[in-house]
This record gives sequence, structure tokens and C-alpha cells, in this order.
Amino acid sequence: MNKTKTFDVIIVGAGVIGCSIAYYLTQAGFKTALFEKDFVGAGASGANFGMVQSNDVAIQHSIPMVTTSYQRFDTLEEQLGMRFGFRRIASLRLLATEADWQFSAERARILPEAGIPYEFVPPERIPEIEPLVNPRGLYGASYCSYQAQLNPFLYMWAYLQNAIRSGLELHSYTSVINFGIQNGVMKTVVTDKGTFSAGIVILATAAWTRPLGQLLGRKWDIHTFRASAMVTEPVASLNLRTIVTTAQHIEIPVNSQGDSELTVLAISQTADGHFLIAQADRPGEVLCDAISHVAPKAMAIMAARYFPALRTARMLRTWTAPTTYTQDGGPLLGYVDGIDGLILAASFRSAIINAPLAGEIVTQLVSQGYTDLIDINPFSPEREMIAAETFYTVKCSGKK
Amino acid sequence: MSTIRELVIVGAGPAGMQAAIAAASAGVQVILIDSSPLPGGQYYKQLPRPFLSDNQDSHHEHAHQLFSHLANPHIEVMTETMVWGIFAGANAGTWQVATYGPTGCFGLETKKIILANGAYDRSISFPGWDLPGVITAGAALTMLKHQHFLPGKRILLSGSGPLQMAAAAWLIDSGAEVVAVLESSPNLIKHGIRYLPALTAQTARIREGLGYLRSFIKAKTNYKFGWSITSCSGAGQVQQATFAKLDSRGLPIPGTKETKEVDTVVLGYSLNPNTSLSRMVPCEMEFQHLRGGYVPRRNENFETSQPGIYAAGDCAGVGGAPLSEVEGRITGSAIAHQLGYLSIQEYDAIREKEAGSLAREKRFADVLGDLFSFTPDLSSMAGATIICRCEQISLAEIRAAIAMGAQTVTDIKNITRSGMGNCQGRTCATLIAGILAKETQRPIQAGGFLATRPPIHPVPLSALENYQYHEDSSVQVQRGSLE
Repeated sequence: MNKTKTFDVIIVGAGVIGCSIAYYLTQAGFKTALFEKDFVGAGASGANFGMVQSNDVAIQHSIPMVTTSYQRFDTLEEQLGMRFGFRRIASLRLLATEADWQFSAERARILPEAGIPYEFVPPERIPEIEPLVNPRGLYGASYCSYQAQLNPFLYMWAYLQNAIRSGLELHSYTSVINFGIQNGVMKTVVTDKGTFSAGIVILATAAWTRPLGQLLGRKWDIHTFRASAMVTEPVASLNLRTIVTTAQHIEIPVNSQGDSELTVLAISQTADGHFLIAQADRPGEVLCDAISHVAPKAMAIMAARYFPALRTARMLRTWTAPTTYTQDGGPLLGYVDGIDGLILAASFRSAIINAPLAGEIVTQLVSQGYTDLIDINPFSPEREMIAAETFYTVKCSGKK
Repeated sequence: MSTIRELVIVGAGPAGMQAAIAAASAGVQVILIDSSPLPGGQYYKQLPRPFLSDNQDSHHEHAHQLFSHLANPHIEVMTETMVWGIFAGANAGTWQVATYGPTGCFGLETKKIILANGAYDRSISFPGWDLPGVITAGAALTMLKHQHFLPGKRILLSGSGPLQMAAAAWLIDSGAEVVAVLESSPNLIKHGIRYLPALTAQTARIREGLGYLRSFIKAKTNYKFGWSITSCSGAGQVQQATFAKLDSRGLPIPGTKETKEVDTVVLGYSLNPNTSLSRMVPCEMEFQHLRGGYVPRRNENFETSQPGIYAAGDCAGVGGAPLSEVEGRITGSAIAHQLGYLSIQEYDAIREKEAGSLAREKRFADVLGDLFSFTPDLSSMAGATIICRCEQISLAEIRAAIAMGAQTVTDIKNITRSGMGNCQGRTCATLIAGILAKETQRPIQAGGFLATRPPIHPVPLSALENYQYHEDSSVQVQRGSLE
């Protein structure tokens, strides 16, 4: 007869948020286990460019979270005792028309007031900031210097390494298949490797939060799309100074109209000279990580349009991961009503930047039942979502 | 809409050619794709005209028979074309095969796929293995047999299995000085006798083996059982090789080390099945120690866990050319039956006809797998030894990742970047699995395997930009509303 192993806290999901929570909880002395259905960073956390992104904040409620969390990076590598490639780097968003800029006008007004510089750059100044971009035909660009980039895998492992040293049990390739609730209190987590009990369970499960909610009879308002990216071999002759994105996108049918890749350009260069190119978004509530055969083409078209010199570069790999969004752009963060001992920490719009604070907040929730770091009421898991900014929803034209 | 093909075969070696011939002779329309200029694969490699020699291999005649059967109106051969990805097709139950060839990138939509992309040389790592002059047995044989080119003058061979015996005999017969042949596996002596029955009806192989031995005896070759290379050194080129006797765990025995002056080192540690495509799809994999590690799980028709995708020959487990040919014939016939070109009776008759040779070749493959799957223990190497050559990752960095808590080869890749370079872990993945198993005291299969991502081989951005996948593929440019 197996005796059920008991922990103070069980975290589900070893992405950036889950790893950060594991770190802060173990530092606070909690006996913690982390369950991951695949490997560490298998979802969107390992599939992104590691952008420590402040300008993509949901401007209604997320600014305090983003600005507080960004400050943590000043000392985070030192605190974790490991370099994870953190470097400050600005981002430049290329605007083709005045309407593209109008779309960001509210941001340009509100963000600087909150201490996040966000400015319009006229086309003649673009080559000054990013000599590789041909400004011809562009209306201008928006520029944000309050950004950074890091290696997402090393970032997760920097948290984990410390957590494991402080007693974290990491269970990779372990799927949660059910939960045991008695009288409205979370008691056990049932996995394909056995049943484990804990006083508190935290779901840091991003795209997989909704299916897990269904096991609990909850319909959390959280949605997914597939985002793809690719990496070139190192190109020593080119030196990109910023992270460049475009407001324009192209749409290419995958297998039929209504099933398309919607591709913007997001491009950055790693310290080793590799170019990272994204992103092709494929709408649909799908949790599959198989890339479409069209995504590499779509990304190649966008990269070559703005950076013709990349045409001769060879593509090493492409990948995709299901990514989440919510209608109002905020995460689901806090205790779940009606199930004692269940916390959600899911669907952070920019998980990399928010991970340090998410770890601290959840640790406070576990140890004292509330947080005084920021106001998390706007992120209540069961809130009514009001669609705030249209660009969260990813729809292709065929589905209109 | 695009044309839906019936069968695309990836790899025109022994398995792929036989599968194409079997399927086409039943009436299936076949596209046979290979990255080389001519079909044949590694085993029946054909060289372009300028390189052609007049040599008469033992399998020369059989190869020519196969090539002549490929001239079938139902078979379209696409050479100098690589398959860089396999994706879900536009129609229910179809697949999209993405290719890159002389005219660019094309997607082929097909009902069935046979993976027949073979195996590649397995290497071991040791200080100095990345020096120029250190080559694999397969490379040495290609230089000798096909390009009439002697890779070096003073040569040391270290490895396990018949491939290195063949390489050694060819080198001796071609006039190279072979300073020693080190057979690293102790199993030939420990388990050899009990396998004698498996040699029944393997007369061609016995004759081949005896031929190699004759070359060794004639040249008084220093053939050592249970020895392995441990390091090599030199200024910009290998100049000295050091080797030692191994204990039963594969560790060098102190005091047995010898060093010789050489200009070439040939490594032949058997073969790795080429599973890059099956892992990409992904097909379910299973660990088969005797066949080279993780290989796609297959049913009796050699279909993988992905309906419509089959795997035949060494890419589904190293078993040699004769086994690959039998598997190819059965797979091609299975697909002809699936597509309605052969009745169940006709297919059963083919299976029955092949049953004897299939069983015999499998038995022989198991014997070779057991005798020669042994690799020396790397754990006593210097930490600075490079393990992943693409990304220049050292043994010390791999060990540091394991100390951080890495549990699988995937974790090690994510932490160190090993296997993130051009080859996506072709060489280093098995080495790292071995290091992880040793450090964590777990069986090698517990470390898992690396996923691969398209493109399997690097493709220029300009070629991807012009990828064509069906006639009406069009790009609609729209004003962006995404951030």
C-alpha cells in the first residue's frame, strides 16, 4: 500500500511562473513539489525570445505589477547566483501608417506617466536607432528603452537550481489527471505517477489552465492560440541593436481559408549572433505544439521584407507553443472562490517580466493569505472580463 | 487544390529502393526522395561519373538489378532533394512532406510516407576527437571505395563491430599502415560462442568476415580485443593516439596506456539509427538497446504510431542492409494493400514468402547488436573535452547542468545549448545520454531523447520564403492589428 506523499504546497506547471513560485516558496521554508507534464519550459515559457517586456502591459491594471517586477531584475542574477543572459535592450516597433500609430496613442500618453518611456520616432530617425532597417515607406516607429532580454531556459533553471537546493521536488513528465476535494477544501492532486496531498495547490499552467479547470467544474475565461518562431545560424556580418517588431501583419492560409498564420515580425539577435524571428500566430483553442508547414514561409517573408540581408542566412529550427490571452489582458492571479487552498497564477501577458513578482505574491498568499505588494483584485480568477484592448484577440479573416 | 500523392519514400537506400519497387510493381504511384545525386544510399552508393571506378563489389550486381527496377513509370525519383519536415496535410488522413531541392522548397501532400533514411556513424568523444584527421569508419570507406583516396598513411582504428573491420581491411589492402585495430567490446569473446547458430545461412557474411581476417593476418595487424582509444593530440592535426585496455565496465585500466604516432584515427562505434524525422512528426518511440537506442514503435506492417507513416530499415533500428531490404519489400507491399492495389491474400502471400528471411536477418541483427553495442566509459575524461561540437559544449558544462538538477537530455540541451546547433544533436545526443546515465546511476533510456524541429537540416531563408505548397497558395497582406 502506497502512503500518499504530503507537501505544504504543490505547484502545477514548470514554466517561468511556476519556477519562480517554487523558488520563493522554498526560500520561505515551505515543503514544495513542482509537477510538470512535459519538461521544464516545454510550453510558451521555453518557446519565446526571453523579452523582458514592459510596453506590452495591459494599461488598465497591470502597470504596477510590471514596473515593480522590472525593478527586481536589477539584482536578480546576483540573488540567484547565476547568470541568465540578462541585458537591457530597447525595442522598436515599425509603423506603416498613421493609423498604426493612433492605435498606440493611448499607450504613448499613459506609459511615460507611469515611468515607462514610450515615444514616437519619425522615419528619418529610424536609421539612427537601427541602421539595418530600411525606413522607406514607413510612417515612423515607436521606441521603448525600458526593456531587456534574457535566456528563458537559464532564467527558469536559475530559479529551479536554488529551489532544488532548498528541497524542491521536481517531477517532470508527470501529468495531473484529477484533484481530490473534500467539503470544498483542496486535499490531493492525482497524477499519472500517483496521488500527492498538499495544503495548497497552485496552478501555474498557462494554456493548460482551462482544461484543468474543467476537472474542477470551472470555466475560467482564458484562451489560447499557437505562436511560432524560428532561429537562424549566427550571422556575424549583421549587428542588430534593438528588438524590432512590426505593426503590419500578413495572413497566409495553412490548409484552408479560415485556418491561417497571422504573422507579424518580431526579430532580435542573440549574443552569439543568431537571429530569432517571430511570430506567426495561428488562432484556435488548440494545445498542440506541432508547427504548421506554412509558418516558416510566413516568418521568412516578413524577415526578408524588412531585413533583405537575412535572405542568405540559413534557418536552423522553427517551433511553436500554445500561448494564452485573456479578454482584458490581465492574468488570473489569486485564490479561487469556493475551493479552499487553490491558487491560480496563469496567463500573464508578459510572463518573463512578471515572474519575480508573481513568485513573491503567491508566496505571500500562501504564508499570510493576502498580498501587500500590489493590488491583485483586478486579477481575480473569477472576474467578469471586459474586453479592453482589441489586439488581444487573434482572428483570421476567413473566420469573420 | 493540390494533387494528393499516394506514397512518398524518404531515402533511396536498400529499404527505400525495395519499398519503391514493391509498391510500384503493384501499381502504386511512388515518389522516392534522396539527398544524394543518385539513388543507392550509403550501402549501394553510386558516385557521379567523374568518380566512377571499375571496382566489382560483392553486391555490385545486386545493386544494379535494384537500380534497373527503379526505372519504372510508377516511380518518380527526386535526387539532391532533402526532406526538411513532415506536417499535417490539408485533407483528412494526409501528410505534407516539405522538401528542399535544386528548384527550391516544395510541399508534397501524400496519403502514405515511408521513412527509410537509414543510419549514420556513431562516434565517441575523448580529448582530441575534434582534431582534423579523426574520421569515422563510414567516411573512411567512402573515401577508399568510391573516391580511391587514402585517408592517411599511419592509421589507428578504434571501434566495435563489422564496419570497422571492413574499414581496417580496406585500408590494409589499399596500402595504409594500420598501427592497430582496437575492438572495444568484450562481448565477442564473452558471448560469441552462443551465437554461432545465428550464422546459419549467412555464408556471404562469413565469407566477407574471413576475407577481412585474411587481410589482417597477411599484414600481421595488431588486433586487440577489449581496448579503446582514450585520447589523441597534435598541432592542428592528429599526430599521436593513446589507447588502453578496458575493464569490464569500459573504464581504461591504469598502466595499460600506449601511445603511437599516427596521422589518422578511424572511429567505428557501430551506427545510430537516423530518427530525426520520426522524432519530429512525432512518432511514439521505444528503446531498443540492440538496435541503437530510441526508434519508432512499429506494428507488423512497419507502420508507426502515426497512421500512414511507416518506417523501414536502419532508421527504425540498425539491422544492416539485408534486413532493410526485407523490411522495405514488406512495407511497400503493405502500402500497396492499404491503397487497394493488392488483395489481402496477395499481401499475405508476400509476407509468408519473406517470413524466413525476415526472421533470419532479425536474429543476425540482434547478435550484432549485442556483440557490438558497447561503448567505452567516458567518465574519466578531462572536463574540458568537447562533447557538442556545433555549440562547443564541454563535458564540464554537461556535468554542471546535471548538478543543477537536469533530469533528461532535453533539460541538458535547454541549459547548455548542446544539440541546438546545425545538427540538432545527431552526434552529441547519444554521448550526453551516456554521461547522464553514468552521473545519475540510471539506465541510459531514463534520459529520454531529443525532439527535433523542422527544418531537419538548415534551409536558407530565401528558399523558405518561396515555399510552394499548393497551386492556389496566395499571400494576403493585411493591415496589422496584432502586437
